[in-house]
Amino acid sequence: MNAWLLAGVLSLGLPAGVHAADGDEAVKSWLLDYAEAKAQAARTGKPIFIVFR
Amino acid sequence: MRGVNLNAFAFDYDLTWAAFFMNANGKIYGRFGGRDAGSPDRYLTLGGLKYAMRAALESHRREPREAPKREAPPEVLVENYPAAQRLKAGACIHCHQVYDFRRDEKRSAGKWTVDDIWKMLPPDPRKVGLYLEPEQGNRLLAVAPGSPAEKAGIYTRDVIRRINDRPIASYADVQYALHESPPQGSVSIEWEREGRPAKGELGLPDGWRQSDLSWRAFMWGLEPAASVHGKDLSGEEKKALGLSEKALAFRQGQFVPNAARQAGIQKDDIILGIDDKPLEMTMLQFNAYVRLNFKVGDRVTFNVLRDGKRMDLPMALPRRD
Repeated sequence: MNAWLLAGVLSLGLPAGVHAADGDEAVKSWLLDYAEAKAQAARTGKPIFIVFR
Repeated sequence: MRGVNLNAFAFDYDLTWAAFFMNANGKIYGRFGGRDAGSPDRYLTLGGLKYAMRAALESHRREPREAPKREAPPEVLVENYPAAQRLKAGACIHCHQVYDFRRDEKRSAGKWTVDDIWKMLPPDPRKVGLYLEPEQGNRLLAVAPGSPAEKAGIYTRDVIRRINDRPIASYADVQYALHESPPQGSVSIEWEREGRPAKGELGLPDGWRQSDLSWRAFMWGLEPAASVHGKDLSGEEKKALGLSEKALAFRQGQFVPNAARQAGIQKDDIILGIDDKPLEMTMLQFNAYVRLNFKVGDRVTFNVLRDGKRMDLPMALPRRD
């Protein structure tokens, strides 16, 4: 495996009771930086989907 | 793998694809991916991924800011291994090299043994009787008769919920939970049968962690080398030679490594095995077999067929091809 880490913030519907900051950000693009993914997840309240391939 | 904390992202590094579901606080809800010695894609199904994703989302709904239960272990970066530091600056580090570097570190310290292979590699769930469905990685496709899973009371179609107190929603989750289990003894397992919960102890007998590692990139770095490789004969070709379908028989490829060439092995020779042992395996499994059962310098006799004539060619097993 080439070790590409891709981090996506799941956008399969916002869980009830979890509030996204700054409005409902439609986050659909992949990120290549784990720290940025964690920051986005913290901001939006969504989980992270990390892929190594 | 540069910059990846191996203690945070522990997975089977010989894989082609692996995934984690987690929250912003580092809590891992689950894993997806994994393989056994069969097809590399067997457990990489859309159905299996959807199921694992839904389970992760459900965990996230329940507690979106949950921190990991266990204290975070120290950060381990692959580029800090001595073998990684011998690479050209900035060279790409592939996932499978993690195992190579770990082996190198232990060997350099004089502490490497064959047993370390099994401690390092995630075990095959089938070794404890768990045959999992690719479309839903926590549901049993089958339970091997007489296996620890059967003895624990698990049946086909049961759904595993926890192993070793870890939630299970995929094949990768099962593998990881087993990987973190003790080397012997037993581990707790919880499952559901038609909605009814059950729990028990999954026995971990001697040798349960050992499995076919012939598919692993890691295998090629082990020593000694068999110094032979090529294409397995078809069933019909073996039959024409009076061999069973499962018998080891492969045609030596174009490139003949140095040790084999010096022993007299040539391109297109049919390799039948060593020391007249009746081996039932593929060429790849033979390469793993030599690496697991012999030492560098051991003298063996290769049994070879050339133009219909049987030949026995002695060779000292080399360190590498």
